[in-house]
Amino acid sequence: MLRSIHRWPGLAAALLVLVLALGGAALSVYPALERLGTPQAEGTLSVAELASRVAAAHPGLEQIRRAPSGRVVAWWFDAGKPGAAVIDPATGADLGSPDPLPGLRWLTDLHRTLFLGDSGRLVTAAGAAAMLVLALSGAVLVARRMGGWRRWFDRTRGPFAGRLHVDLARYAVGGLVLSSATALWLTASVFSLLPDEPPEPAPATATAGLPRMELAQIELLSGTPASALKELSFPSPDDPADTYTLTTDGGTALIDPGTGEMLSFVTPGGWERATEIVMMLHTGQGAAALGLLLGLMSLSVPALGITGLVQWLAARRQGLRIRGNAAPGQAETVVLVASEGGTTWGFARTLHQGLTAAGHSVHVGALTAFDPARYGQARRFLILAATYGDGEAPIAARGVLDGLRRLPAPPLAPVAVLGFGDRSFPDFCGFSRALADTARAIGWADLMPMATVDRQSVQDFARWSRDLGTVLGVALELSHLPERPQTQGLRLISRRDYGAEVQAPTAILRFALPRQGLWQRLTGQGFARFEAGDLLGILPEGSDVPRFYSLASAAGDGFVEICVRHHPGGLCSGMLTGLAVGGVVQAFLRRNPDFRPARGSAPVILIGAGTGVGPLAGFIRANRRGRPMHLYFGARSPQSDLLYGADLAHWQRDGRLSRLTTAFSRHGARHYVQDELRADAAQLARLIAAGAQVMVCGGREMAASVREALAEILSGVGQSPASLKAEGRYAEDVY
Amino acid sequence: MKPAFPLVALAAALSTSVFGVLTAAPIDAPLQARAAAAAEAAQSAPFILLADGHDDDDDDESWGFGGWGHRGGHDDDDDDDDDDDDDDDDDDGRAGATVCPAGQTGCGRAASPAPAGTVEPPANGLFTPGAKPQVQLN
Amino acid sequence: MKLLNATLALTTALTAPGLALATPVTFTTQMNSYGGDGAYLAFYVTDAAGAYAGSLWMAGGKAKYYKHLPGWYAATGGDVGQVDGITGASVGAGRSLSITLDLQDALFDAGYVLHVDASVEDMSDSADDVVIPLTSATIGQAVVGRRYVQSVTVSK
Repeated sequence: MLRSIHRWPGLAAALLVLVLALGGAALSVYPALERLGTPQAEGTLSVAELASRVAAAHPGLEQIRRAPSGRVVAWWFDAGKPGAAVIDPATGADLGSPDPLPGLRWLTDLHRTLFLGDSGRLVTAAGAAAMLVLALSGAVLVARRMGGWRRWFDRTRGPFAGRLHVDLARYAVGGLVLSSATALWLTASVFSLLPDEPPEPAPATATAGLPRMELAQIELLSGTPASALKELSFPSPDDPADTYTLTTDGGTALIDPGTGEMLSFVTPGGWERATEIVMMLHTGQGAAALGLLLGLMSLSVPALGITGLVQWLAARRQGLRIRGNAAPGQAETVVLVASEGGTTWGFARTLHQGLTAAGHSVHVGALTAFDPARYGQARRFLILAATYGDGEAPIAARGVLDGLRRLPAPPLAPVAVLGFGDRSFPDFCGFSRALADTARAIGWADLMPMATVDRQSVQDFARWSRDLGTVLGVALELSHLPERPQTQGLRLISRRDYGAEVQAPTAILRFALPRQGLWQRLTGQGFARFEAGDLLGILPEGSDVPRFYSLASAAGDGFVEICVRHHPGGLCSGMLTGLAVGGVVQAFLRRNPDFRPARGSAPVILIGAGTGVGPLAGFIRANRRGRPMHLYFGARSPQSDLLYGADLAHWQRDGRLSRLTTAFSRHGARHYVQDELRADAAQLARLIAAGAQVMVCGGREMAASVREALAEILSGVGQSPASLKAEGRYAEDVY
Repeated sequence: MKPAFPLVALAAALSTSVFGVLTAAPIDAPLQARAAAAAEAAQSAPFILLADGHDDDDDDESWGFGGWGHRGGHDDDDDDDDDDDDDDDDDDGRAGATVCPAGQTGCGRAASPAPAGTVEPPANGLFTPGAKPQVQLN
Repeated sequence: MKLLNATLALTTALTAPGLALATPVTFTTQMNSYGGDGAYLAFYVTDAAGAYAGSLWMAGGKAKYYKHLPGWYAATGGDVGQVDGITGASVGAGRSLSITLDLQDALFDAGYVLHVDASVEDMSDSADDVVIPLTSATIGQAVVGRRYVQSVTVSK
C-alpha cells in the first residue's frame, strides 16, 4: 500500500514535480547572487543616516526598501519624472536599475504558476503536495528497506538503481520535505486561507502647521539600525497630514514628520511572522546558504524520478504483480514473500491462484512490508522465503528477523514457512530456517512445520500444497509451471580449452554481445549494461530451470565471457563445453551487485579457484586505473588449467594486477589457496587493516577453507570475515 | 555517517535563519530603550538587567511564538492601546461604507471581491442600475 | 439633460433608478514597460469636496494586496464590497486595459475626479498614479501617469 502511495503520485506528478524542482533549483541561486552583488551597509548605520544619504542624492524621495540580502532600493519622483535605483548604502549614490536579474521573473512565474495564473498556482500546489507525499512515504520506505529507523543511515545494498534512489533520497529528503511543505503554506497564504494578514497601524495624521524635522532628529529613525529596515515611506509633499511609515522586522509605525513622535504602531502577529519565516525558508531570501542547500537537494529530483521509474519497470518485468490481489486488511490468508528474483514470486502467484480458486481471500505482499496491524482479518500467514548462496537472506528481506524480534506480541494467526533454496549448499534454506526459528522464539504459533523447495522443484511445491490443503480442509494440488525467463540468443565467438590433462575439462567461452534496442539501452535492461560478477542465466536444452554462471566480462568489453567446467552428467555444463564456435545458447542476465569491488582506491584481495577466477579476471581486466589488486589463484597444474594464464601475465605488466600468487594442488608443493594466504598472513593483515576488500569466488569447500584461514589471520588485528562482511568488505560468490 | 551530513547542514542553516527572524527587535525598541533608561535613572542602577528580562516576559505573554508584543507591563503602552481604539472608532464614523476599519487586526481579512460579471456593480450612485461592465486586456 | 444638477441626479439615481440617464464611458489605460509583474490598479472617484465617492474598477483579484493601493485603501479601509462586481485581472507591464462602464451622466462636470492607484509586487506603491478631473474638457484626452501607468484616456 505504502509502495503504491509512493509510486502512483510519483509517476503521475513526475513531470510537474520535475519542472518545479528544477525551477526551484535555478531560483535558489538568485538570493546568493543578489547577496554577493550587494554592497553591505556598515553595521552601525541607522535608518535615519541611510535615509538622509539617499534623500540628499535623490530629491523627491518617496520610498526606500531594504531586502533581506541588504539590497537597498529607492523610489523618487522628481521634476515630473519617476525614478528608481539600487542604492549604495555607504554613499546614497545610484548603483543601477532595480530591475530583477535576468531570468528571475520568468523563472518565478514558471515556478509559481506555470504561466497560468491562479489555476497554475493550484496545479503547482498539487505538485508540491505530491512531492511532500513522495518524500514522506519514501522516508518510511527507506526505513523499512534498511530494517528500521535506527539503520536509516546504514550502507545501502541491492541493485544499482535502487541503491542510487535510496542514497539520493537520504541526502535530499530533508530539503524536499521543507521545500514542499513551505510551498503549500505559501499557496495557502496567497489564497488567504491563513490568518496571516499583517496588521495595519491605526491611521493617524501629522500635527498641522509644523515644518518637517530633520531625519536625524526623529528618534525612531535614528534609533533603528538600517539592518532591521524593510521599508520607509516618506510623507507626500502635497499632503500636509501625511506621515512617515516605517516597517522593520519588528512591525510598522507611523511617525509624525513635524514632531518626530510615533503616532501609532503594530507588531507582527504570530501567523504573520510564521509566514515570513516560511517565505524565507522557501525562497532563501535572507537565508542564501539555506536556499542554495535546498536548491542542491531539489536537483536530485530528476535522478530520483529516473531511478524510481527504473525500479518500477524492473518490478513489473519480474512479474511481481499479482492479479486480483486481496487488500491486506481483508485477506484471510496472507502470503508473504522474501525474494529479489521473480521465481519465488512466481510460486506465490501460483499459490494465490490456487487458494483464490478454492474460495479463499488471499493477499500476497513482500515480507518487508509485514506489520501485523495491517492484516485485521488474517487467519493464517504463509511465508515463502528464498535463501541465496550459503544461508544468505535475500537483499529484499534484510532486517526482517530483527523486525520480528521487535514485535511487542506475536501475531495471533499461525504461520507456515516454505523455504526455497539449493540443497547443494551446506546451509540449505538457512534464511528460511532462521525465520522459522525466530517465529518460534517469539511465540508465533505454527500452522505447519517448515518445508523446503529444492531448486524450484515442482514436486516439492506440489507436496507442500497438498499438506496445506489438508490443514485448510480443501483439496489443493498446485502444479507450478516455472515461468521461462525471457532469454536472448548468444552466439559463441571463441573458446579456449584447459584442464583436459588433469581431469578437469574447462573452457573460457566468449559470446558476441547481442544487439540491444534503444529502449533497452536507455533503461539498462538486458545486456545493455552488466559488470563482471553479474550472473549469466543459461537455459539448457530440454529444461526451463536456468543455470547461473558468473560473468568474466563487462558490457564495456564488448563481449560476454564465462568459465565453464564440464561436470560429468551435467546437462548445462555438458552442452556449453560441447558448444562449437558459431553455436547459440539461450541466456539472460541477472544482476549481482553485491559481488563487485567497492568504489574507491583501496586495495582488493581477490581469491579464486578453478572457474571461480572468471569474475576476478573480469575485475582485473576492468582495473584500468591501476588500483592495487592481489590475486590468489588456485588451480591444479600450471601447464594445464591455469585459466587466463597469458592474460594475467599481461595485466601484471601493464599495472592492472599488482601481484599474482598461484597455488597448484597437483604440481610441485601441492598447495591450496588457503595455504598461500597463511604464508602471506602478515602482509594480508596489513592490507586489510589499511582498508582492503576481500572477494572470494569458487566452490563452497574452498570458500569455507579461505574463510577459516582468513579468520586466523585477522584475529591478530581484531577483525574477522564476519566483521569485514558487515562493513561490506568481504564478498563471496560461491557455487 | 556521510548521508547524515546534508541533513545536519540543513538543520543548522534552518535553525540559524529562523533564530535570526525570531530575535528581531520590536519596532518601538528604540523608544522602549529610552523608557527603560529613564526608569533606570529614576530608580537604582542594578535594574539594568531586570529591564531586559522584562522584555522577554512580554514575548511569552503575547503569543508564545517568540514574537514581540506591546501589551507588556508598561503603563505607557496601555495608553497607546486606548489611543488605538479611539482611532478605530473615528474610522467607523468617517467612512460609512467601511466594513472593517483600517488598522484593526482580525477583521481586515475579508474575502476577495466578486469578479465582474458575477454580480451587479455596487450601488454607489456612479453606475446606472443594471450596468454590465465590459473589459478588454490587450 | 446636462442642465440637471449633478447632485440631484445622483440622489435621484439612488432612489429612482428608472429615471437615470447614462452613456457608456470607456477608460483606456496604457501601462509603462516598468519591468515588473502585473500591476494592481484601483479606479475610484472623489467628489468636489475631495471625499471618496465610489469605486469604478479594481484590476487585481486578491484583497490581501489592496493595502498597497494607498489612496483607495485609506478611503475605503480595504472594504471589498466597494469593488464587488467591478473586479478583473491585474494588468501586465506594457499592456493596455480598456473598461467600458455605464455611468451616470451627472458624473461629469460636477467636480468629480478620477484617481488611479497602482501597485506592483516588490516595487514602490504609487498612489494617484493618474488623476483626471471628470470634465468635458478631459474627455478624449490621454492623461499621463506618474510611474506605472503611461496614460489613461476617458472617452464617451
